[in-house]
This record gives sequence, structure tokens and C-alpha cells, in this order.
Amino acid sequence: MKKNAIFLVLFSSLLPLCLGAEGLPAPAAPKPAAAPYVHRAGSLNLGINYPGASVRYFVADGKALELLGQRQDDVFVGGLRYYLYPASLRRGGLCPYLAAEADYLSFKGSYAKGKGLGGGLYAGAEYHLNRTYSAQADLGAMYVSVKDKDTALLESGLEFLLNLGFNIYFGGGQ
Amino acid sequence: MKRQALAALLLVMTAGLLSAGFSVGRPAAVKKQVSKLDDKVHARLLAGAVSNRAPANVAVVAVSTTVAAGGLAIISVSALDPDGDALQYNWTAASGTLSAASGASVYWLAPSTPGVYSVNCAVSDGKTAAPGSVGVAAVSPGTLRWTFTPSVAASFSSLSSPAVDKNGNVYATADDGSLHAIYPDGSPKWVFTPTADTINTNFGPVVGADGTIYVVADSGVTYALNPDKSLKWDPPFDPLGLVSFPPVPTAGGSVYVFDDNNDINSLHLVGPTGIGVSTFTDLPNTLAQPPVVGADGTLYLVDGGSNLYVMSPAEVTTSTQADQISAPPAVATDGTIYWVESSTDVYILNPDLSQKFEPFTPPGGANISEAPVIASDGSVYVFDDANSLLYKINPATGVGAPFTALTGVVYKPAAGPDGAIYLDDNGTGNDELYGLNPNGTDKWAPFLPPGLLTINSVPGVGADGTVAFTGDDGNVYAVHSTSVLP
Repeated sequence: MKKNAIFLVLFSSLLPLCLGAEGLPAPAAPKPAAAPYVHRAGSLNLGINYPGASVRYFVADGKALELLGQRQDDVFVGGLRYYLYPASLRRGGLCPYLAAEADYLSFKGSYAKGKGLGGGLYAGAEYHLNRTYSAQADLGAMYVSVKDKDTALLESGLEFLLNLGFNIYFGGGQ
Repeated sequence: MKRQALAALLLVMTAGLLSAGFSVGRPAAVKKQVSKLDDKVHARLLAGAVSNRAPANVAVVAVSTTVAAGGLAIISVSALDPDGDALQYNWTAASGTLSAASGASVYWLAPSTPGVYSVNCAVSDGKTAAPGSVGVAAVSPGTLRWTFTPSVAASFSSLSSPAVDKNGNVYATADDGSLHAIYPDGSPKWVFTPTADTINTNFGPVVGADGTIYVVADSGVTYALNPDKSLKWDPPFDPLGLVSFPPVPTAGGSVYVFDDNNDINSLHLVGPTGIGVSTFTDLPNTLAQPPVVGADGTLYLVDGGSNLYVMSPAEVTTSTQADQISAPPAVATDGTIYWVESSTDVYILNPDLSQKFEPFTPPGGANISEAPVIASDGSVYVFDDANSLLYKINPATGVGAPFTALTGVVYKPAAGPDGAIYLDDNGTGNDELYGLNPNGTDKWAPFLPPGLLTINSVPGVGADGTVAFTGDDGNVYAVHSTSVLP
């Protein structure tokens, strides 16, 4: 919880700074409207999310596949996520997206230890600070199913979660 | 400004989501389900810790896995309960007869038909049971059980009889003055040799009801040994004289020891701790026969004046005088007394020493030099060593008659726990061991171990039916025979 709070503060602090870097006091002359970002096919980014990392590849314009891994408190999540950036929703650097994800889970609790599966649907937005950096956040529901190895006991349920991350883009044409 | 407002909005939204129960990052979401699973597993572990576990390590063991058909096996069970529950043992056997349906140890009387049988025991902790069983082979009575040849330079050619304890262990005195203990399977158990002394081989060891083994050394010292060879009395009992009669154990763990170099005052009652007391101070003559202890602890003494004293136990309660008591008396469980007078007449007396029946006198100039033998069924056997004949006296009538057609009986017989009679007869020219049923029929065909010419001793018979004897080849032999449930 403390880590969550620290990450949240950092994320929320950095975001306005980044926004501010692009949003310096406006000149007197009217600024032309910024062109919306377009995630071109072939783009690749490395993401630092909480609490893990990811690599995302755009298989088509506005469509990406991402491999991600997260680890915290003896819980490991490895997942494959599909991104869809609807072109009609893009506004300048803000690119809303929908994502579907399947996860492999490994855990060790106080008594339980085993593996599991997860799957979720998410909606969020990625905000491009410039051509290289972006921040993103999404909300979603994840169905989690875990099984204890020794007793074969199962537990499953729907969890709601917030994902936060920064991305660094390489190559491709945005 | 708009962007800063957006960032602030994002911050506020995030905080709101967190407070609404949203997780930040997938592991935090998964962790919530893992916590629930932890609770389940913990509950299962707790339930498992208090739930019952069945008894384990069930081992059913027979003292001997081979007995005679109609013979007795001692069977015990051991088991552990992982939860420390008290265990119950439930015995079953498809064939044969069990002495009890429960208990950690039981007797099993084998069927009269040879075969291999199972004795089963279910060990229960009150909730679950674990099974166990042992296979016991029943062989024909009269089958040689084992031959014991001592590994040291000793032999068992003396005339002293082996003794068999209730578990089938055999004790025999070797010619070198050592006592050998032999397991029920014929393997050596231990050898006892007194320090700077030898064991008297004129009579064999005596086993008490509690399993104590008594032997007398040539020095007159009496040793009491536990079945594991440890000394029950340390030091042994020394009556300070010579002892020529075997010790006579009582049911209470004491033993009578008689020093026949002195007068009757030297009859000692040695207690379970080895402390000897002599309270027989009022008798005028020396003891002439080994003392006899009745089933109720009453002591019967015959002195050199042919007086029979009935004592309870150190005080004379009644006495009578005969012309010549020529053999130790025998006392039946009902107190009936049989004594031999002038080596020819068997007198039968009530416990108060009144005459019960007319004396029985075997025909043909009989000579009876040994005590009558009382079988478990109450029948009385008298050995006429002048004519090598064996007579049986009916305890209900006092009438005696030849028991068997055998005409070469060598020694007095030995009685088995089921009323069977075992004797050595050489009337056919061969020295052979006979097993006879109470009605005189053969229990088995006359038997002599291969290579053996002469049976040396009166057989010793164990509660399990084991018949042990020594041979002139220096070995000890054991033969399977029948028994009854204790």
C-alpha cells in the first residue's frame, strides 16, 4: 500500500511536469492545433509499469500486442495484452485505448502456493509527452483464478484495478 | 492550466479508485484472491490437524509361525497411533480358536487339520481401523520341530529333563554344567554358567509360573534367572549345604529349596527377592522326598519316618504316618493326595488325609519308584519300572488299569496341557517317543529323530505343546504337539 502510494505520488507529480514541458506559457500568437498521435505499425516501446515492465509492438496502426511481467509480494504476473487505439477518440497527445489481456499467475501466500490464470478487460488512455515518451493509465476488471498446489483448493473472483505506466518508444512511425 | 487540471483530476480519480477498493497493478489484485485462498488452505490444515489418522505400523507376530495341528500359538500385535489415541485390538480367525477377541496378545489354538492359517487383528483407534495378520502353519503332531546342537564343547547327554516355558523357550542343562536357553525356533538364546561353579545335572532346570528359571549349582547355591538371563536374585541363594532335590516353585513367585545334608529345618522358602527363610523347625526327621506344593499353596512334606505333613504353608495343619512312603506324593487340583507306599501300593487320600479309595496295587510285583503323574484331566499315571508298564488310575473311582499296551516304558511319563501323555518306550527294540491321547490311542506314530539311538530324558512339555527331550547324541530335540487354550 505504501509502495502504491509512492508510485501514485510520483506518477501524478511527473505527469504535470511533463505536461508543463510541452505547455510552457503560450505565446501571444495563436498556436495551431496539434495533430493527433498515430501509433503506426512497426512501432515498439518499452514500458515501465507498476510493478513491472513490458514490451509493446504495434502490429497495425492503432493495434498492438504487449508482453508484460509484474512481480510484487511473491506474486508474479506474466501477460499478453492486446491494445486497440480507436482513431476517432484521439485528441492531440491523448490516445484512449481499449485492452484485453490474458495472464499467467504464480504466487506464494502465507499458506497457499501455486499457480493461476487471469483475464481482463481495460479502458484507459496514453498521453504522449513527445515522440519518445508517454504515460498511460487504465482501469479494468480482471478475473483471477488461483489454485493451491498442495491442497488443490481453488479461489477465483473479479478484481478491479488501476494500471499505471511510462513508455519509451523506439523506431516505427508515430 | 487545462493540463494541470487534468493531472489533478487524474490524481483525485486515482485516490478515489484506491479508496473504492481498486488495486494498483495486477499483483495487488491477484494478492487479494491469494489471501482468500490462504484462508481456505489454513482452514484445511487446521482441519487436517484435528482430524483422525488411522493406526499405523501394525505388526502381528507369532512367537512361532509353525505349531502342531491342535497346538497353541502365542500371537501379539503392535501398532502406533499417530494421534496418540488409545488402541483396541480385535482378533479374528477363520479357523482355530482364539483365547480372546481383544487384547494385545492372544493364544490361538490351531485346527486339528494341518494347513496354513491366518490370524487377523484389526487395530482400531475408535474411529478407524487398520488390519494386520500373520500366517501360522499347523503341522502334524509328532513332527520334529528342531534339533539343538550346542555350539560350544558341551552336550546334553545327562538324564535331566529340559524345561519349557509358557512361550515355548526351552532350557536344558549341559554336561559341562552350563544352562542353555533355546528360542522356540531352536536357535540359541543364551548360555548361563555360574562363576566358579557348575550346574547340577542330576535334575533339570525348573521354570516357575512367572517364567523364572531355577537351577541349582553343584555347590548347593540356587540361582533364579529371568527369561533374559539376568539374575532375579543377586546374590543367589546359598542354603550352606548340598541340594539334591530340584527347587519347587510356588504360584506366588517363591520357591522351596531343600538342603538335604541337614535336617528338615533346612527346607527354605525363598521369596521373590531371594531372601530365604526356614520356619520348619518342629519336624523331627529329615526330609525324605522332594516337597510338593499343591495348587492352593499347601505344602506336602514326607520325612524319613514316612510321616506325611500337610502344611499351610509353614505350620503343620495335619499329618499322618505310613509304613514306607517310597516316592514323592502327588496332589491333584482338588487336593486328593496320591502316595506310593513300599513301592507297590498307591494310596489315595482326601485332603484331610482320610482314605478316599482302596489303594491301587499294580499286579505282577510292581515297583513304583517315582511320583505318580497327574494329567490336566485329573487322570493319574503310575509307572511300574519293574515291568516297564504304565497304569492309569481313574480319579473318580480310584481304579487303576494298564494305560497302554506298551511294555517297554523306560521312564515315568510326562503329561501335556491337553491331557496327552508322552513317554519313552523301547519295547519294540527301538527307543521311541510316544504321544498318547488320554484314551490311550496314539497321537502320532512312534518317533525317534534320525540318527538318534536313545532318548535320555523324561520329556519336558510346554504350555504350547512343545515336547523337548535330550538324546544320547548330546542334542536337545523338540517335537510339535497339541495343547489347549490356557
